[in-house]
Amino acid sequence: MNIEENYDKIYHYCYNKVKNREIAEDITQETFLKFLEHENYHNSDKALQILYTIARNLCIDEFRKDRIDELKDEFSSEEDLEKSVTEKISLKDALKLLSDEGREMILMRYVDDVPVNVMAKFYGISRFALNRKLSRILGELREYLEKEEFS
Amino acid sequence: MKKSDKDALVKAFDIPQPQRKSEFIKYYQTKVKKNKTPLFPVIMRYISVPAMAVLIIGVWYNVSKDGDLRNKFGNDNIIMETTSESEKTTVASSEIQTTNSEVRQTTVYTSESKSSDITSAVQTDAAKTDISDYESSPISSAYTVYVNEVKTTSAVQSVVTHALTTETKPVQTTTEQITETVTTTQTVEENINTANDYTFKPEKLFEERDDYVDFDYFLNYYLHSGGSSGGGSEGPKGDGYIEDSIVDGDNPPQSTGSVGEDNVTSGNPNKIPDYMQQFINELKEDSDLIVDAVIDEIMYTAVDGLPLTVENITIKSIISRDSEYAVSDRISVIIAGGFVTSDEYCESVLGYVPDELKGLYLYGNFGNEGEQKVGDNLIFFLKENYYYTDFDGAFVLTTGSDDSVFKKNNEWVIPLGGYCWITEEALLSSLR
Repeated sequence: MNIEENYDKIYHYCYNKVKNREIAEDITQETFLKFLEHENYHNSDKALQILYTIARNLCIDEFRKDRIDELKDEFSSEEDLEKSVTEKISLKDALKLLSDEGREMILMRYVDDVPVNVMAKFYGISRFALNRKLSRILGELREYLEKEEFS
Repeated sequence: MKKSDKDALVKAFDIPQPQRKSEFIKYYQTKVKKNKTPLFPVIMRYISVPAMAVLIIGVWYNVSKDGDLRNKFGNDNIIMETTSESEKTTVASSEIQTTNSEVRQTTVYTSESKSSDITSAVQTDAAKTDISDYESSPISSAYTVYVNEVKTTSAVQSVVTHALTTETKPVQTTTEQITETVTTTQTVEENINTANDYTFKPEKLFEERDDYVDFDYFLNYYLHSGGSSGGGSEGPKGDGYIEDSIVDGDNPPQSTGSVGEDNVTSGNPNKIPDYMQQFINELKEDSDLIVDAVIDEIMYTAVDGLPLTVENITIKSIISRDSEYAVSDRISVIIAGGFVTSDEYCESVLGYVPDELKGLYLYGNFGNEGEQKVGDNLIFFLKENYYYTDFDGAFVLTTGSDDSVFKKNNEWVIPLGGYCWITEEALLSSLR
């Protein structure tokens, strides 16, 4: 297992969830330590999938510490959303318009290059279903960006 | 995706660099070194291979060559018999002990002797023979009974070898008795050539219901409400599950033109689109068993609170090579998802059942988007089950979801998980 590479992936995932560098890094490190305790940790085929699963569980634990309100993004009302869409928006803003899951999938697949089969197992869906979801999310992004150069 | 797009995305996510990465990696690597794999499992893994080989060769050597080992192995009612009889017997030492007319131990060394090997069923009969008659008889020639207990395998429990010269009547009588026993048990053997049933029936069963709550919805409700009843805008009791439609619908194309949503195939209905061919190749590579089968039974159970579906199927034909299964055999397929009560789930996961979540029926398809019902004739891509210890010997879907299952419509097939129709002929030929 390439820890350098996987550290970044898990950190990105956690940061996208908790939006706080310190907490994200804490969870990332906790993820790897828990991974070491996992009976199948030496099975490198499933390492990344197990890491993501542990990270997700730890993030859920973090959510349950009454941090949900702090983690809401800035687009909390429909008025804000409409305003953002009508104005010229950046990719960063467009990403914020996506659902949490959509943003997470884009991050995993296109930023961190997580393999489709790992993601499919992680989300508990078939590869076909995952590809359909990714296509739909990219379509939404394109729509938000008014079909700019994004492809 | 182009590199420029990826760069733009990385920038857009605006994730700060981690600050404690290098320190942690050093610490982690040190910890990994300390946390070495224990030697014992490794040693056992490698030692077990030759040990098992020796065992198999030993069993094979002691079983008749004309026997069908696969069917007879482990069946105590079957007699494996060689037809040759001993011609010469040289007794090096012989000892017949009788207590209450039972043979306890006899040691014989024979040379140039071909013998009859009879399994435990015959040993019992031989043991019941009144040996005291022989002791009192004036036996001048060698009468030998050789009892050899083989303790290394449960299948072949013991072997009785009769090497005898037929000079006295009692000995001849014994020979006849054995022959009769053999005849009887051979009849039993003829009657066992039927299909094998390897299916499971879980003890804990949940019924299929119409009034259920979607599992994901239930989990979201619970997690975001922190287990309290005030967190969700709606109660957990939903109106039922609305299944995502399969991309291509239920019906295959009518003409021999384009196939599937992407309309990749044109002109030749037996041409498989590249991405589909790649998927089929992966399925073939990863599968332990590929069968054309009919669903006999669908049952819903749960392990650690999580719903599982047990499908018992009857094999109509075997597509994969070198299968140890036969047509008409029945096997079980374990599929993630199904029906479970909220009480069962909460009790297993939380250790208690919150009042507001009691009495619900949950359903989760866990990524299996297609419908399967009793009587369906489907093509299954299966792997041996190593995940669910309660179902050791059952199978799981190769990809973990129902895109490992192809449904049929006339000459067309499609994975239940979607994506495009291909002809059954094309599928089968790509699996050959």
